[in-house]
Amino acid sequence: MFAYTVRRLGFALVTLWLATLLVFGALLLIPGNPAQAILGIDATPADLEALEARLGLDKPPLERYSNWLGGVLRGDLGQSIRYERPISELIVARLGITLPIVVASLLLATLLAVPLGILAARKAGTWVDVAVSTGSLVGIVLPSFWVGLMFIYVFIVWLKLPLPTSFPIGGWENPQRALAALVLPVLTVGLASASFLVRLVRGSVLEVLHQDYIRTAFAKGLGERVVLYKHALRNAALPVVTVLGLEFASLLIATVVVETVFGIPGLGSLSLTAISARDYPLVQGVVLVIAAFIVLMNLLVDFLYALLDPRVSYA
Amino acid sequence: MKKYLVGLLAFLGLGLGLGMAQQRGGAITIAIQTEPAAWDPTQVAGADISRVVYDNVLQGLVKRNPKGEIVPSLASRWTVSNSGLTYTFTLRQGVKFHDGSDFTAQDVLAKFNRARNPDTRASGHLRPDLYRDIANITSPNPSTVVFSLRQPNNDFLFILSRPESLIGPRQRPLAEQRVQPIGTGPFRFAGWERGVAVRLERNPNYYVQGLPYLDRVNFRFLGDGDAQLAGLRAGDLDVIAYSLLPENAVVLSRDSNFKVFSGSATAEAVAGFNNSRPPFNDVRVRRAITLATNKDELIQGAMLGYGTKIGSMRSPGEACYVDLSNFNAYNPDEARRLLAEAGFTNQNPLRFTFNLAAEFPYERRIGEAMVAQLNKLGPLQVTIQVTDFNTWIQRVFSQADYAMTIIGHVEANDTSNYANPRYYWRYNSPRFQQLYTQYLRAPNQTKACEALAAAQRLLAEDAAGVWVMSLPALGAYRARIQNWPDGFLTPAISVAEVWVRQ
Repeated sequence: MFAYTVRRLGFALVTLWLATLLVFGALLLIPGNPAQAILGIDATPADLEALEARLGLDKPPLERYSNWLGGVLRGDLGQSIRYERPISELIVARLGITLPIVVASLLLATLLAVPLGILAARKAGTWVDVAVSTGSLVGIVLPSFWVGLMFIYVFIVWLKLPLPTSFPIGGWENPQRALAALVLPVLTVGLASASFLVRLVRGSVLEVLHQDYIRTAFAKGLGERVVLYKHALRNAALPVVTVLGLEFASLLIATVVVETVFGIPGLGSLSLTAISARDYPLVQGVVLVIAAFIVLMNLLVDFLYALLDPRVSYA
Repeated sequence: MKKYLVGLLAFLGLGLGLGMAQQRGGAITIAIQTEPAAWDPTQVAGADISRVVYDNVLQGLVKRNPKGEIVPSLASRWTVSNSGLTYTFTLRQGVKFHDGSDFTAQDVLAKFNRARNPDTRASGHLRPDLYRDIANITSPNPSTVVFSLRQPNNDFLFILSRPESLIGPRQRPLAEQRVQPIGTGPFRFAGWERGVAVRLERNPNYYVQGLPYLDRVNFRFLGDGDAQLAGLRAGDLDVIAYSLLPENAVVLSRDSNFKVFSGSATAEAVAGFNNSRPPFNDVRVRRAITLATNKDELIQGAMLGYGTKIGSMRSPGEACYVDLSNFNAYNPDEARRLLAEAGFTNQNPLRFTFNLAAEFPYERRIGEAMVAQLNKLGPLQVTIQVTDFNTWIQRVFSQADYAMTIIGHVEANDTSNYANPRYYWRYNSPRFQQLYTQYLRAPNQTKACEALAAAQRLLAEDAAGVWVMSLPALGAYRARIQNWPDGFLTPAISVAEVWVRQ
């Protein structure tokens, strides 16, 4: 297990390094330039040159990359070109908003999807199953920016619930208002994620219910409840846990859309700004952080797998 | 009779307005579309910077009011010598910057000496080209500043009213001024929450008695038009200052809780050609595209009627405007004839790519509708390429690597861009350049306007671009907001005289 852990961590680090290379290369390839984004279209070539020199963009790419990577290894992500602030400070502030959304959405999705999925699997083929499956299909195909806007109209404009439509100016200074601002985004992301999860739970439980050992358990005369909770769900949980881990990462990215609709200054909207402003160090920093989350979740899933399924061996 | 009735109604309206006393206090939140990289317009260009800080935070010697007139600001008055070479400004006395220091003639000298320094790396100031005509600046006494010009320049006052000419304290480090500008305006810059908003607070020492009315003004960055609408209806926002989507304007105008305004602005939607390359170096082709564009239909279809047809590079509210909206009027038959003359027929159609920047909803929908119109003509096959704005800037704007594109030109008095053959339209007409110089050097306003009128006509005859419409300053606010400036012929969203009914 120890050797496995070391190897796994090694892979994780290599993955992260490859991610830095990829994003740096991609930024070299896309057209556009941060100095122009800052100075605007009236800037003269002399203005641009002066700013590029100040930003260090006149140095060769390899030097820029190694400077940046060196900083990262020392724990310094550098300065944002656009915001003239330490990138770590910006990312931490934005994560403080995005992480609660992602975690709460995932929680909501799990609380909805697991019971509904089990219910649909147990009542497979009945109207309950059809209703759950259809509902989830609708949830999957509706784009989240549209769902978000509809929620604003239904809950705020029509029902006049006292919820803000965007994150309050001043942020967490007023925690109640800030939390209220996250209700609809969490609902939007959570429902979309639940729609996807519910099908997985249903499929997974259904598959397990068809296994021989379940038939054996029933044949032994065990009640449905015992069979379901003691035998079936533990096994059905495996793929669900895997997907939950990956879902965490994809929600981190899915927030881009929701944060735009709800005017939330989270990591998603930060990455969007960073890209459109060609704020290279900021894009690199955000990508690195998201990649780190993805790698971390994968590691966690692997270790959880080992706990849930003793048959998985780690030679 | 009708005229008198209108006059009477206006008088009654005025009476009502006066009867409702302005109230002090309160805070409003205004949605703007994008967040600039910084807030000092001498160091960074961008319309959104001026919308927030111009005349609200930072002031110059003169300013443009919402009607587009150049009026006194930090200079209480000025005189121009008969030669047009000497401008003498009398400074307002007793003015303080937001940091408590006094505004003096030395600040003006320091500012413009910095501005005209051609070494931008040292000065950190954009556009020294604007100030090239200044030979020297002196201050014979503390309340007077004198500019001596190398040659007459009819745009000189206009240049002084530009955002680049705003004045900050001379000792203020540029890096600090960039993120937290200090000026003399009715509001001080209280804070910038990156990605969220800018907060302005009342300047208690403002030199105009009784102003401003509001205690606080927030400018909130919200790019999505529907999110803006939702925020306005939910009460999180008080004003959508510009770029309200036309369909949302229609919805809001039916609701008595909101007021929709469509003010005159200085923004032209210009479908520009690359005049230097085939096929658009051929005036027949350019004219054919203009004739094949049904501007009325575009204003109705893409903008639901919000917009004004124009025919050259100028908006109706601006000085020296000439109405050429029916020059090269929609005529598809003539368009086909001209294209055939240039060698393009249904069998051998003219093919080119139309570049669109994704960020701007107005320009995108106008561009897409325009391409649909052109493709209906027959001898044209236009493909659309949508890129993000940064890519657009590099490919289209900087390198002129394009055939045709559309973008909104928001700056006032920007006809001059056609006098610059390096500008992305690559329009190189010695005749135009001559007319524009005539305008700049004209001895009086009448002569200046004559030259500028001839320049506008020449552009239209040359079909140097398709000037589709003058874009409106389309916005909306909650009914409790009073005295909102409906005109938008200024770089600012001026809030000094705005107040809220409690």
